[in-house]
Amino acid sequence: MSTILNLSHNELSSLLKLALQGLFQHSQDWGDLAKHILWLETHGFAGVASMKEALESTTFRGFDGDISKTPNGLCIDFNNNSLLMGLPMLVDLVTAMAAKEEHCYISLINVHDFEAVVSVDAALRAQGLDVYVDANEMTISSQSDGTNILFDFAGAHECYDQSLRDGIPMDQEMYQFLDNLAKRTLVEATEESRRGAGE
Amino acid sequence: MINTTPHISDEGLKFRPADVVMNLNRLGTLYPYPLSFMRSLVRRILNEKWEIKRAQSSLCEQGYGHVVYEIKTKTALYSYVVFADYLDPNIRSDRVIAEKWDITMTLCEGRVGDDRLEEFRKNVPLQEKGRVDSTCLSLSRANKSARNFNYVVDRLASGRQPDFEAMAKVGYLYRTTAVYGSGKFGMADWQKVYGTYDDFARPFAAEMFSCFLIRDFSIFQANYVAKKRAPETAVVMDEDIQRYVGIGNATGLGMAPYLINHPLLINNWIEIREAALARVKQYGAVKVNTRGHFTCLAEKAIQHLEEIATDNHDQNVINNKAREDMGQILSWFDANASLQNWSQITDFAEANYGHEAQELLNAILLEVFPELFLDLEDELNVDEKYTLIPEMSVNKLRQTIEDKYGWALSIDFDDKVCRGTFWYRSEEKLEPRLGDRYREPGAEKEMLLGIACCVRECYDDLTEFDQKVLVAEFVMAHPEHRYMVRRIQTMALTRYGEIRANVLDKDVLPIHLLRCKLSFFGVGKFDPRSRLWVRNTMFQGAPLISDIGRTTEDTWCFPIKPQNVDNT
Repeated sequence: MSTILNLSHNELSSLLKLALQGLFQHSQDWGDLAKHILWLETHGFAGVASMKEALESTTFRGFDGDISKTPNGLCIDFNNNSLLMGLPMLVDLVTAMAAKEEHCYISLINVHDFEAVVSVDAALRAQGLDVYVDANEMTISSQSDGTNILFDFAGAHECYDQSLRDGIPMDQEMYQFLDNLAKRTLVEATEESRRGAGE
Repeated sequence: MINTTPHISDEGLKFRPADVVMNLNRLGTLYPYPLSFMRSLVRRILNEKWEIKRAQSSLCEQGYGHVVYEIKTKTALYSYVVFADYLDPNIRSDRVIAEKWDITMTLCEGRVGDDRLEEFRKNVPLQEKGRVDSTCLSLSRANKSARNFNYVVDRLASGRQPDFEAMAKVGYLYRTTAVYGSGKFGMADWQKVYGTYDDFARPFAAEMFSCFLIRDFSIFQANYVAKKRAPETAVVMDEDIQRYVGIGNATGLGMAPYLINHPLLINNWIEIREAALARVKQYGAVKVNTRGHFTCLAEKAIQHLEEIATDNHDQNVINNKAREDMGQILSWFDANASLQNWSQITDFAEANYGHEAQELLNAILLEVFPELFLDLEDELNVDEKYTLIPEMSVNKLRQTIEDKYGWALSIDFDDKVCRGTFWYRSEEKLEPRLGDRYREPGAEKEMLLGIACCVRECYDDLTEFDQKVLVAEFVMAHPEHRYMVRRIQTMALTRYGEIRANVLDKDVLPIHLLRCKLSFFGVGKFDPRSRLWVRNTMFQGAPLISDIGRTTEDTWCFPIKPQNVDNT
């Protein structure tokens, strides 16, 4: 029977960051991506499981698709990769567009894990930007056309409060999976390395 | 979008410039001051009259077992659980990699019943290898200063008080080797502590409180063992001596990454300290009583430095020089009866003496006028958000780096010496260590702490990028720089910005980073054991638990030996 660990936000955030660094060195802003995954996990959107699945299906990759201009705004082709690693980029693009243009409209195509866009929505709202997400059309817009798919934010907030109060429940196996990745950042101990700690 | 603006906005306040204040050599000479965290905590305990008692005590004759403290504050009840175990002297170690300790402790919310105590007993002595829950605010451990502890117990058991000279050499009975908080090992996140436990909603308050109670336990245990050993002859340690007992601390590299990874918080702590100093220099009255107070404190500080016992030659030279310099500053002060303001004396020190004497003088001045800045006590927290400004142009970002990070751009990273060190975590309990980049393995796994070098790399790629496009495009093309870009954009809006140091330099002195942070904690008596770790003393001279309700005085800075105790 698998044991459940209750992790603090700080623990999971650090673990995710180190796991990502263990996988990809310092090639991206893992601190910010870890925040998105933590947000998903603590608001009931299974961020860690999605990341694990994306890793296993090899869709968890740096953005290598195309961005093209459309009459409405931008179209981002994710080249059949997961949206997860692109979450910080999406926040950047919407923020920049909203500041530069009167209206912001981005559509996503060929993308897995679109539902993770909810953390982009939350990050933008935290910055004071109101955006509308259409899950059917896979679009993000600064103007509503009346077809918004809204997420259960009330439930999400309750989930978050509970995670802060009691910790984030995590299956021991899942924890081990992340911890094994994080351990890749550790350096082997030698007599010489012990001197590097002041011995 | 980002609301990071200079925190303190007193109109007309003359702050020292960033290039003076953020110099690492200067930061490595800071002394504690009245807003240091343990000073702030003790003021709160005394002013709010916290009720602290040992609710359970189950120790054997040798002092092993457990003790549970209960702490009743204005709004809540907490428990502090101490497990005291026999430790083979041969395995006693201050290093992070140790696996057993003399005592292990946790601070938690509420009362501790039998079941919870058993759960703690299974986990707390294991420290990093155990788990606690989100009702816990801190987890810590400490080792005996065996020679001092045994000496004190022997003296008390034989009916005599400990000798000051012997006590002064060490100054404590126990030494903490790690104090954890903020969500480690399942504990409450800082966000929860801040939102739920108002008593500990200041930086490191729960961790400092843990150390405060270790000190109490160390005295209690010494008295207890002495009494059990010789019930007929034993005496209780004199209260003045008890106040002189601090709690030792050994701090290594683990503390350094924190300073580099939390630049907004560190900027805030420094800005508040500088605001306090600026207020004192601008508004502190030069009168007979304040002149007298200043002189008394300066003399006390000189004596304090004289009483510091360290085997470290360099530290002894520094302490002796600071004493001499302070003596000369005091002579100058006595000869200048017509001083108009305190800036005149700090100007004199800046023109004639080094960082150590200047910062000692500043610390003394801050002790003379705490009423001018105690209102800043609740401003020490900051919501750390490093938000990217993607709509900024690449050109503007490049100019920002030139304007705010000129110190980083001036370092020649093509010179191997400037990149000679790398920081990493060892597989041995994740201990942070330094390596020689060109000789030791592991540089590919280095921690991202070389901020100056990262700024340089980001700047070089920026200069080759289209200057008219937005930062959003730059970070898409260079995702490896995104973290640095948002850090640069955020810190550029602050008053003091980054600590100006190249921590990758072959000859980096991390000990300056440690002393800087420890000074904000309120730690004194620095005793460097190498350039990588330092022993120090906490809470020496502080009020005791038995002083709560008897005093609210905050006069325990620069602790010196008690004067009027019969210890023969």
